[in-house]
Amino acid sequence: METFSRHIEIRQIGDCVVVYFTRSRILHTTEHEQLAEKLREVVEVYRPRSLVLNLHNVVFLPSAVLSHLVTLKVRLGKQGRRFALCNLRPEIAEILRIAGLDRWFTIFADEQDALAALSTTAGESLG
Amino acid sequence: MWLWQFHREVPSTLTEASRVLSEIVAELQRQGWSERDIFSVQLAVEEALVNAIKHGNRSDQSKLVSTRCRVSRQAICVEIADEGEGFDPSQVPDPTSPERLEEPSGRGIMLMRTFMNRVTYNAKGNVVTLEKTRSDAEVSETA
Repeated sequence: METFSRHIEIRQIGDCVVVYFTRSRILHTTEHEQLAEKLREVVEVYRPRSLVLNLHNVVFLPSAVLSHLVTLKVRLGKQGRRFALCNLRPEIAEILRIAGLDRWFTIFADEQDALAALSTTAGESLG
Repeated sequence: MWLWQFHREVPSTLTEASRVLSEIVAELQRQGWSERDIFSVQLAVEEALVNAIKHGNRSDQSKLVSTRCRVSRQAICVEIADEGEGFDPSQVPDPTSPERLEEPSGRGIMLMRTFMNRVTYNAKGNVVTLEKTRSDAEVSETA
């Protein structure tokens, strides 16, 4: 596990990068833009085939952050990269459902499932 | 009867908005509101404050965001006003429609409406009022 910034830690597994949020309160007003910038940096530095956000530690997901995740997924898709979320708390899953994004994002119950599905030998149809 | 009332006028910065939000959350915690209710209020008030700063006052720090909050045993009412031109909330497209899912914005109002009991705007569209009834109000009343 590598500390990428004060917001996130990352783990590289083959051509997949998993991002962990270091603080549950990171997703708060003043830090939205910084978080989005760090996620862009992860993609630029590691150029992963697949990016997985492990949201286990996230207890709050305002629409501004949701917007950044939508933008990130669209951008990665245009680059032929894959993007997924895993380990969602029920309240975060509820927000995605309300926003109609629970089926638009690729979501896995846990990191192991995500890595298995997104490995290079897995199918290419995942978003 | 309102147990707690406050009024803050702050510059249009997210840091100031965070302080206002923290005051409200701290009061709800002090009054023993459930985590679920606090989560709902926090999410909705944050969305409204961000809208007031970014869309209403266009992040112009010379413009103020006014927050009036009242809390009773059963309910909370938060009124947030900006100095912007206002907007017509009925014209905001449904962000869950398939053609808009990939749009980065437009979800804040929907989340506010989902997590609060009532969300209303003034005619100009630059003052939003958020109301929520405490989910354990009856229990609280008899406790």
